[in-house]
Amino acid sequence: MTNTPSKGRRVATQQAVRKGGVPPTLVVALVAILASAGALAIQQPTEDPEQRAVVAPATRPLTSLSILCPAAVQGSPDLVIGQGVEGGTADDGTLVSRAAEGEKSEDLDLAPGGAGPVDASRDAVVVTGTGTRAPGLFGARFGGPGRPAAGQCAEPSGERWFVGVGAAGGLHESKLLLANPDTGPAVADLSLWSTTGELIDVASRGLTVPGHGSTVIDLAELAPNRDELAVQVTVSRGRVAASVSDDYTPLEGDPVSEWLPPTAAPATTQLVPGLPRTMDEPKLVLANPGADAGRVTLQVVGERSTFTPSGLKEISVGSGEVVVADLPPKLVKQLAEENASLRITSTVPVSGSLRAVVSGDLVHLPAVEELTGDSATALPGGAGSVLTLTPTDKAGQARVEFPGQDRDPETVRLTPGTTTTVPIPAKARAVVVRGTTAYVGSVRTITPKGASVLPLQALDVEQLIPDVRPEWP
Amino acid sequence: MTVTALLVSHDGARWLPAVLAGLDDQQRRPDHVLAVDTGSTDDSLDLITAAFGPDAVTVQPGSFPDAVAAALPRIDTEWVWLLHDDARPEPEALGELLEAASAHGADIVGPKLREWPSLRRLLEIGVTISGAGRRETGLERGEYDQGQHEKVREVLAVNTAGMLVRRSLLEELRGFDPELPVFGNDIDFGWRAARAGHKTVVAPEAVVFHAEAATRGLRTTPATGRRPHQAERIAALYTLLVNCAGRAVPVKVVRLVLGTCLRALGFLLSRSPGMARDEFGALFAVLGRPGRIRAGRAARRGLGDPRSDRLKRLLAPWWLPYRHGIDFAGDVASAVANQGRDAADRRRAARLESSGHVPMRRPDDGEDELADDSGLLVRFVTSPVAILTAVLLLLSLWGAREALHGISGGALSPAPEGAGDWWRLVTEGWHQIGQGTDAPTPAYLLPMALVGSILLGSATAAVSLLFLAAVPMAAWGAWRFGTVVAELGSGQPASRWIVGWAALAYAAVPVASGAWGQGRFGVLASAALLPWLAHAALGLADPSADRRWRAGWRSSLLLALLTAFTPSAWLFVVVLVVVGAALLMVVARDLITERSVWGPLLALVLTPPVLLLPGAIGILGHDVSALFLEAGRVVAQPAAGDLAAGRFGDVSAPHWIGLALLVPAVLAVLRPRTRVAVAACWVLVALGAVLAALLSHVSIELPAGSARPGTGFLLLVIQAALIVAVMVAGHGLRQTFAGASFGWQQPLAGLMAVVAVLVPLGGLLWWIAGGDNQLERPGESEVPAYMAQAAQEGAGHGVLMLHGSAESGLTWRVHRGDGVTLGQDEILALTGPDAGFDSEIRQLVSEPDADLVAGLPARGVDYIVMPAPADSQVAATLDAATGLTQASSSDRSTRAWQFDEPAEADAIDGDGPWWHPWVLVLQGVAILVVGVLCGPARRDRS
Repeated sequence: MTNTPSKGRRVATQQAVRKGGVPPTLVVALVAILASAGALAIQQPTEDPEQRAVVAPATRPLTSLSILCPAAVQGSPDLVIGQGVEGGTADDGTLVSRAAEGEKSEDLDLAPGGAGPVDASRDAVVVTGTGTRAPGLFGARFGGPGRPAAGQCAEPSGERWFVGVGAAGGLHESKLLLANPDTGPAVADLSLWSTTGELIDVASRGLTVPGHGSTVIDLAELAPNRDELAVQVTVSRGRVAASVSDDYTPLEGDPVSEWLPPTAAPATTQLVPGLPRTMDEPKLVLANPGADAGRVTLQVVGERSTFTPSGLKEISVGSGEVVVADLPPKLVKQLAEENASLRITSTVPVSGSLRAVVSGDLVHLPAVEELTGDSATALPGGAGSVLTLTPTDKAGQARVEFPGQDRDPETVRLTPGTTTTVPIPAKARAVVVRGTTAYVGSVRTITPKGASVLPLQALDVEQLIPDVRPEWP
Repeated sequence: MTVTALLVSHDGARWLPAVLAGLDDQQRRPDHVLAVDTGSTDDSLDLITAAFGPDAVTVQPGSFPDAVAAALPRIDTEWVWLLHDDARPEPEALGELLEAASAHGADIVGPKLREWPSLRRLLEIGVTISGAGRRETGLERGEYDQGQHEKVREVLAVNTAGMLVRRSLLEELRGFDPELPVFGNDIDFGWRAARAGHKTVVAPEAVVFHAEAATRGLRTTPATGRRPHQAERIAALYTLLVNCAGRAVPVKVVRLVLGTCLRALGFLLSRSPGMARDEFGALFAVLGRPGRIRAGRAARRGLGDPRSDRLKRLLAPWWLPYRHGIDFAGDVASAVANQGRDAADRRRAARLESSGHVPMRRPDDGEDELADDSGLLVRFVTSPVAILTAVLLLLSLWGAREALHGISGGALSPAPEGAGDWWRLVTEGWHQIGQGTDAPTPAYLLPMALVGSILLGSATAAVSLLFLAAVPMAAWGAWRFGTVVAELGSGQPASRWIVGWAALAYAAVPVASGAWGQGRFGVLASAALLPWLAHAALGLADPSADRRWRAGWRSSLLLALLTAFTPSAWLFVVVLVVVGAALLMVVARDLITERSVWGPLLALVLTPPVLLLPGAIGILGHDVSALFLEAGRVVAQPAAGDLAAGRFGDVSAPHWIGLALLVPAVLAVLRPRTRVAVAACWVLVALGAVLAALLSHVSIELPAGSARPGTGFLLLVIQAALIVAVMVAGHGLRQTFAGASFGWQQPLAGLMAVVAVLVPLGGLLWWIAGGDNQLERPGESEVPAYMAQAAQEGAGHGVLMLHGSAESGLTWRVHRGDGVTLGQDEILALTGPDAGFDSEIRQLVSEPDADLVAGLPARGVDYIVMPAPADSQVAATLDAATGLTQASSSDRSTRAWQFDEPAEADAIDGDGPWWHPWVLVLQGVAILVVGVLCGPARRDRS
């Protein structure tokens, strides 16, 4: 095609043709150019080879769930267990408690979908529900009649944060309990931060928890001469549930054993719900595990609006440090005026927890994980409990149920930027909240002898069945 | 000593006058002269009757042995001197023969045979026979007689032309074997004489010129038939079988059968199917009549020991046939090489002729070569082209320096450990990769495996070679193609500078486009091959029908190679041929109806699918459009803007450099002088663009997702056509403007020249300066080292790799052997969806029960690995599963488990499709046949 020779004579003919009009070769060339341009115009835009569309994971009801309930303290009543499934459930499964250390186990007697005290060992136990008794399992221990305190049962999780943990020589001393609900060994790593930075020379890596076993780590031994620790528990093998017990001695009185709740993982925005209206010595403990220093500002999410108290200074948090800051008296004053949550906003991810003395009792108020859908907590039973709910993003509704109580569920409206409170009947042993939007919440109990705060825990009712497909070659 | 000269004639009137004169000139005149005519139809009988008188002439229709037998009773002298009607003796021949006979006590004496009419070349100085039945003269082919063989020596046999033999011996051996009418009767006679203890010598002082009329087929007689080669082979096989030792006969038969097959193959390879047929014809003719052999052996039984040392010495050594085989292969190779040079010479001669130059001396003249050699360095440093070429070669090596070690990235997977892995993929119908698959192997693996094997079995070296050599090969090919096309398109002698620009511009395409940097090795290989294909395809327009055919076969072979790497090449050529044929139908209807015109075109289009048969058939069970996937991992295809600029997406030279080429290419249309060629180029561009647009709307559905057909080849073609358009239009531009008055055209042309120069310079400099690329050394595997090692132990020991999370979905692959290496991507991409395995894994990561866990090792999985970040839910689920034990991994955040039950090494073994071996054989034969058809015909040379 390209090799048609154009000899001199041909050129002459072409020129002869030109006189008559446009030469045909020119027409061909121009048509070809236009055709090329046209073809490019109808070309599909480029795109990367497409993987098959991701199918949302399927779900099915959970068939097995274990929770670690901490050991009882002096005067503790029975362990309270609840099952937060909607509309009750069939009795087609087992509910067993097994000592966290060892194989001793006993069946628990609890109506399906109900909540109430169960007759279980006073040691730390792993409560396992199987079949229909697994979805929505939750529970907690409570302090004796003289002193409100609460230690919630913990699900095994890949990562847990505890901020404001006390070690030797501080106001309080903490012990970490790690329990492995499975038969195979599990391995957990601890990372610790103190007010002077991350503790890297402590033997806190590769803690093996044998199958059906538990390990108690005395943080006073692990990190002597440190107080105000932040502890991260990460599980690298198997499943481990973690719980922290806390001992302190009040200014006037005998030593007291309590529990220290886990805190939400570091984030740039955190909410501490359920603040008591009156508190003494409120101290905010902030941990910044990151490599960058940050600044933290505080806001109050009140009943009607969110506001920033005037004249509040930013708290600077150095990288890898734990910072303990007194809540400004001005802020404490404003908190006393209404039920509110504290919003911690930071330039870098931080984890926070508020500690205060209420009626002579030391109370830990952790920042809590954002919840979507259903959540619940066991209740001590008795007067003085209030549920506070704060939506994090959009407006929505929350239905509040009290399992085992002959009461109609209460539906409350959640307005962004405000905190809603729901009074809790004195006899209720559990509360289940079903929200239509993202929210945080906790149950605050204040008696003349002290206070306790029970954050709402997300209910584990179903399991994801991931979509599985071959990898793109 | 008395001698009778016996002349046997058959249609030899062409040579007889000279033969008779030679006989007449003998210094030692024979005592008697007899002549036997075996039934000539020309003037032979008249000629000999006139020379010898009617008494001395007998007519005896039949063969040479018959003629001798008929004349023998009439001879009463001691010696008989046998002469052919095409053998002319030198005047002193008879005297020398007799002298040698008496001096050496010989019973048979033969002369030195020289070629007639060349007179200088040696034909025979005694003959023997090799184990394969070949007539051995011990001479080089076409050896000149320079007196180098002057010693009288004992031989097995001498030719009957000029043979001096004792009458008594002829009578004792009962003459020549009538079973050997024309060929081989001399060897058989000598062999029998030797067995009987008689001595045969050759006397080189005696010279006879021999026309070898029968052997060369100058004369066909009823005795030779129309197939002299077959007759010759029959004679050779017969001679061997009747004369060898009795116990050796079975071995001999086997050897001759095998030898015949080999020889036939050789003849097929040199495109002489007739000779191959003769070989088999002879074998069947001899073996089909065992009675004849038995009779022949019985007649020779009393002659003496057939295995005497003396005979062994006289027969050819055992290794001779093998040497001939090697020589033959060498001949074929050099013929192929010469053919290329011939084509170049032909073109050069035509060019010189048209430009009116005096033809140059051939540069390969012996004397010149010495002088040239001594000045090689001088010639190099004084030739700017040589220096520039060397500089560019070094620069291209520098640019491609990363490829000096193993590379992977982009579309390129790491090379396997050795070329053997590629061979396995090519030859096996079932591949133990993934979960075991019979998906077809990509076609490019065959050439890659070949190259790898040549490079001492290193697959890495083959990949490196491709990445190192693609640019120089593309430039070289473009230079060769450009030189021809520039002349044809512009009607002027090709300008070195402009063709050099074009070659550089084209060589810049594979690198500037990003094909190099993105590891698109398919496009890279096609870029290197495309100009060679175009060059070969030019031969389709050759005036000689034979060359057209050869060009058709050669182009089809190259097209098959290109198609293997970039399948859209075939599609493009099909469209091009259809368009071209339609055009021919309109303008030259009588031309296209000629078989040697449409035949090669058809061969060009239809051969590649046959040569790529296993892939073409294997694809049938899958999405057929997957045939048009480019080589390598599935990657994005260029968009419209990329196509116009000749770029593959972002990892490439700046787009504006590529777009700059469009301006001179469009303006090239304005030159009337070269417009035909430029318009043709633009038609090619349009075809490429239209095809790319059509292909961009095709979606290939693969198990893991959807992809687009590869359009990389079309990008190459568009770029090449644009470059050719500019190159052709650039010819003669300077001369045109040199004489013209200054106007707007000169600055425009100058500007275009600058723009055009920018295109290759920009692209190549971007590359050499270390432009962006995705290539890197094959990195650390995600698979822990000890598992990778365990995986090496057998294809069944797989490592299940899980990526992703429960929320966003998990993807799986199974690591086997070295992991996914070059060539396996396409197979895995085509592997049918394994819904069963998908659901098993789904269950494994959500609710593993003991049965499932126990069953997975049977599917060839030993370990499960979740590289960081491992999904905690899935990890926890697997931790809790019975039958799985946590396994260690190098990285803390990577999770791994081991199945308690180990997998079997052959867990994923399976059977490929039944037709696979047959298709492979067919493909092999097709490649061989096309390869032979590409080569020079044997008939051409003689």
